[in-house]
Amino acid sequence: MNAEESESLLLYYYNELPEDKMLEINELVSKNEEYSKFINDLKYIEKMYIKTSETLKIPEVKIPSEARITKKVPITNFMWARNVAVAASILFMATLGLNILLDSDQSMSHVDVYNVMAFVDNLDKEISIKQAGENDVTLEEVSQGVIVYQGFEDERDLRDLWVSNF
Amino acid sequence: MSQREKDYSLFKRYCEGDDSALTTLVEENRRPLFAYIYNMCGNYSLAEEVFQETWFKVVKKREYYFNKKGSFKGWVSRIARNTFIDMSRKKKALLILDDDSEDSYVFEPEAHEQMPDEAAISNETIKIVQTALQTLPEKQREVFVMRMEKGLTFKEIADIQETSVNTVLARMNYATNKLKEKLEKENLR
Repeated sequence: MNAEESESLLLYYYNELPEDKMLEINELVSKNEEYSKFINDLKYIEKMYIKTSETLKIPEVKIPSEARITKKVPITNFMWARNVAVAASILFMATLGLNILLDSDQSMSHVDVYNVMAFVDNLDKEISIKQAGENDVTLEEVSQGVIVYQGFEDERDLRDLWVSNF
Repeated sequence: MSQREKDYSLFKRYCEGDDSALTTLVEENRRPLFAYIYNMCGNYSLAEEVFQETWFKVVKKREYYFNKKGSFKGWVSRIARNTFIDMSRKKKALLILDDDSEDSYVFEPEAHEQMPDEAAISNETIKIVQTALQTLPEKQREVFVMRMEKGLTFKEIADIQETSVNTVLARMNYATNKLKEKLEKENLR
């Protein structure tokens, strides 16, 4: 079974497909032994997990009463605050970019990258991260939304580092 | 009313001053949330700390929920995930299951009584399943637990992990295959 088939079966099992597709796969599952085995295996794994999970002792939730006291919170839209943050970050990026342009080697240190990432991350912007063989990142790469880093296992290591550096 | 709408309505009622709505939300969500956190931590004490801090943040940051489009479960999972990352970094916690630690799993034997029609699962089986889970790579384990325990959709999980739905599906597929292999190896099937 290829990846596409197993992914479709996962979506089918969890009822996350459109109705017509659900019916189509339902028919396939009833006819195809491999598909029905996949579904049965999934059911088995789920059953074992749920049984195990049910034995876990769940602690009581202790929310401090002073935090819990309910006073009516105005449910407002904070888009204005977000807009201010966006404007501030654009200003920051422009300043940073200017500094890099004026710099002779036109590159950023890792700390700069963390700062950029922190801003980008805070704004929920999608960034792509790729591993590269170079130590530094160029302004061009930053402007293209490509943050390059080296020497970290994965994105979380980098996140941990910038959290501690920012 | 869908679960998502129900959660939204309860949380809105709480924010408007109805404390009982929070109690209901906590009761409905505490088991899947704690199981998710525990499976990420692999350590009961740390999981409990992350769990309490998560609920504290839910209450403290309640107004921010209404700026997001996602489900309550997804929002709480994101808070739990970030809290876990922060706490484990601060504490430099050991994130793998320590077989010798008494702290590694805390059972609640009375839970068996809730399944009279099913054969009670033995402590040995529980340990095998838990160990198999803990050997999964973190992101695969996270997808598996979020889907199984919290009932988040693959799209919601993709948003939390900041990746594509296809990646999440691939992680789920790897996770279930590896678990199946491990359980078969232990003659649990």
